[in-house]
Parts: sequence; structure tokens; C-alpha cells
Amino acid sequence: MLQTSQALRRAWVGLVAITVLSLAVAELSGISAGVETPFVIVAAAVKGRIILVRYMVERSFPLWLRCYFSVWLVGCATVIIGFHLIS
Amino acid sequence: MDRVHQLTDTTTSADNQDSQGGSLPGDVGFWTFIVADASLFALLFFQFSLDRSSRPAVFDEGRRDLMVFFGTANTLVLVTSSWLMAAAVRAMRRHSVRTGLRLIAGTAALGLVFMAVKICEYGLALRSGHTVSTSPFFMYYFMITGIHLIHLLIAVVVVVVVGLRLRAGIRSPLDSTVLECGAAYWHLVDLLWMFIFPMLYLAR
Repeated sequence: MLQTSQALRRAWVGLVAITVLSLAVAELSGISAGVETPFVIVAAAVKGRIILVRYMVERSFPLWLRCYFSVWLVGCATVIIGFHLIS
Repeated sequence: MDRVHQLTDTTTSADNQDSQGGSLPGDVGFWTFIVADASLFALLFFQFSLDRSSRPAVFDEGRRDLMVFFGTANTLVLVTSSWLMAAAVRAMRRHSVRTGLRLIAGTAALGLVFMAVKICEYGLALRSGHTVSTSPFFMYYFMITGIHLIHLLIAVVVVVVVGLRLRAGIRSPLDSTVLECGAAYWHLVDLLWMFIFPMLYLAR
């Protein structure tokens, strides 16, 4: 299944927007680390999801690979956020 | 001419498989490698986070010495290169070889920009006295970003080789597979950076 050029462009706009938003929250907002870290890591997971769905065409993957990447994304985000919150 | 027909057959077959769902772009063995590679980075993220939890002040001090500008610039460069790579695969599948080649060249160029920015960043870090033995944070910083940089270098080489072969008119089913594998690898490198950037540069 080929993505349309519009879908690829929209994905890029989304990735750039989330990156800028993450940067703004981390560097400019002045919110506490307990809120900032989960925000930027969840934003990273959302960007990862966009890359998988739009650029890697996850829909065409077999079930085991789709499950692997879903677990990978959620697992990485959970581990990073979890250890940051308990430190 | 036969080679052009071979590529046509391959892409048509791939599109048919895709429309039925459950097929992989590229080679199955390569996806096993992708899974192993992603798992390796997951372990690195785990180890970094575990060590950080025992010495948060040391890691935070190291993080503050990094220049967020470099990380942000490289994030934007990498997501743009991924866009071009996806568009290149799309163009090649639609037999727009000239457009595909331009997009492949753009992807490789942005890969080189990422490497140049990273080397500048390494230079500044080393000049400031930070090495792998300075602190645990910088050990992880150089290790994780270094492994990632090697991945990107391999991806650039693959993309350039495929691009040169396509430019020379060599369009075999193997080249089609290598292009799709190269694209998947490129997106993996991008995916990994999506976590590396906030973990090292932003998370407090």
C-alpha cells in the first residue's frame, strides 16, 4: 500500500510540529521535571508511531511485527519515564 | 530492457501483496535484523535509564552541558530525510526513476548533514573536556549517539550505492529489494533518534 504524497507531507509536518512543541515544553515552559519528562517521551513515542504508520507502512507488516513495534514503542517510553520518575 | 521488466514485475507483485496485507517491504531476513537492532537500542535505553535513576544529579549535569540546538537541528534533518526516503520509494514503485533518484540524493545529502552536525557537536564536547571517561552521562552519550551514527553511515552508503546503480540503469529485483530494505533501515535510524534526542537532551 503506497502512501500518497499528501499523507507523507502531513506526516512530516506532524513530526516537525511535535518536535518544536517538545522543545518549547522542555526549554521554555518552566514546568516541573515530573511533567516535562513524561511529556517529551510520550511525544517521542507519538513521533515513532507516525514514522511506523506513515513511512514504514506498518499496515503491511505481519501481525508479529506490528505487535513487536507496538510493544517496543510502549516499552521504551514506559522504561524511560518510569526510571525518571523514581529517580 | 529485461532488467526494467524485472523491476516492473517485482513492484507490481509487491503492491499486490501489500493490498492483501501481511507482507513485508524488502527481505524477511533483513526485518529479523531490524528487530534485533531495535531490541539492542531498547536495552541501551533501559541501561541508561537504570543508571540515571541511581545518579540523577550527575546525569543532569552532563545533560546541561549538551547544546540542545544540535539535537533539535539533527531531529529536523532526520525527519526530513525520512520523508524524502519514503517519497523516493513511492516514486520508484511508480516508475518515476528520475524523481526517485533526486529524492534518494536528497536523502543521502541530509544524512551527511546529520553526520556533519554530529561531528561538530562531538568536537565541541571534546574541546570542553568531555570524553567517554568524564562521567557516566558522557559515556552513554558517546556510546548511544556513536552507535546511532554508525547506523546512519551504513544507511547512507546503502542509499548511495542503490542510487548509483539505478542511475547507471541497473534495475534488478535485487536493487528493488535493497532499496526497500535501505528505506526501512533509514526509518529505523529515524525512529531510534526520536527516543535518543529527548532522552539525552531534554528529559530532566
